[in-house]
Amino acid sequence: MDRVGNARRHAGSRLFALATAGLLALASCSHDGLGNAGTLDVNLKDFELTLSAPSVPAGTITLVAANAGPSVHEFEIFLVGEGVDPAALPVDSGVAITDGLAPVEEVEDIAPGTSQKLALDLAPGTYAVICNLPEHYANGMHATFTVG
Amino acid sequence: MLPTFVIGLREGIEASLIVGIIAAFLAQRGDRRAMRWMWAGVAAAVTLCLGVAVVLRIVNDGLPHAQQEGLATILALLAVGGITYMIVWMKRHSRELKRSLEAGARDALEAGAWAMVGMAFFAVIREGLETAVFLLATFSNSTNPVATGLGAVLGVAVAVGLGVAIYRGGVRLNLSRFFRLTGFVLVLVAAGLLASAAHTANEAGWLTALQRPAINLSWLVSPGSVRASLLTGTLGLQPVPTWAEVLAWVAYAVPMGLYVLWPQRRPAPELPEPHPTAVAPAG
Repeated sequence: MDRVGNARRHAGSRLFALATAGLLALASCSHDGLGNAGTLDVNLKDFELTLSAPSVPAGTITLVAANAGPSVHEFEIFLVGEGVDPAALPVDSGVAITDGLAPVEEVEDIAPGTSQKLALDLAPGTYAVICNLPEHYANGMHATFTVG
Repeated sequence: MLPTFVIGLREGIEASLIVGIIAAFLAQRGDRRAMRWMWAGVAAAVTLCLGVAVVLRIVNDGLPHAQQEGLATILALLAVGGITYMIVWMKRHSRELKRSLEAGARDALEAGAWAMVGMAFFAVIREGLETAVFLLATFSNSTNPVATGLGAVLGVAVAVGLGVAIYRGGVRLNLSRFFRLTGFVLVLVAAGLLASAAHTANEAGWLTALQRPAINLSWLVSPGSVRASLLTGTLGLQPVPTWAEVLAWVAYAVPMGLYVLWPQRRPAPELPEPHPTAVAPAG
């Protein structure tokens, strides 16, 4: 009976170790993956949007968006088309008109004092980051970066 | 704390409104069994959403943005379909329901009740995942997790409280007024959902026309305010809706609103036999 009890205990702890290792592997998978360790910080506040770097390597990057507040912000990433100046978009009813920009990603509802992280796989090109809540673009919440 | 309170309130009320209405409806019918299933379904949906949100956080990944928005569009369209079914069903059966409740018979209406149990579960799933992901983010990625997290939890709690209030109020109304009122509210909710489907369809890349701002409602729906969160959460009103969103809203709200508010045709009252002396004698 003791032998059966011991075997069961070992099986249980082995399973636990496997599960933990599995979860850790999953968690680390999404960060660097294949060695492309590009990161980009997006800093949001009233009313400024700044990036930590003007360009990032092609491939998977980790983007960290932090909002220093005091308002709630969001941001959208667009691929910039030919002949479009993302810093001079027309504004209608307080929001920028994004014709000529192809939407890539969006994160909404970033509360002040919080940050959000996401992994992106970007092809080479020029990208624009905009907070398009009413009046925010016109007050300067936009930036561009290049990939590759 | 207010910013996360406002977001939690908005996210929470989108589901608690529907659940409150369905719970009131089932209570009016006296259908205890369906109600128990509904609460079980809601609890299961909440647990599922929290679980999935935790997994998403660990994996730090998700569908690409366009696919996410495409999924959101499909879910919103399904919800519009479900709510439309509810509205039509309630309109068709209100008189019949009243009579059958008074007569004590309930079997013929079983299918409708179970559809609504399903709708409550589905509504919580749809809104709950977004809410759960947001709640987790406020606790884990914050410079002041207590304040931001507490604000978010309070927002959701107030939303649940409003759902309970809707349930209590709905139960107290007389049946025909309850049907009229909830039918009207559901029309507005579904119109808002259709408008937000137009919004997410654009973000999914499916709808590229009619994207100019149609009207500036940011004076009414000023981002970050409690009023905005209530208006957006219940009616789907956006600060600066596009033409596509406005047209979707009107295209649903006008015909369905007329349908709900149109008085039911009463059976023609029996006309009395014409009096014999009314017939003028010839000559």
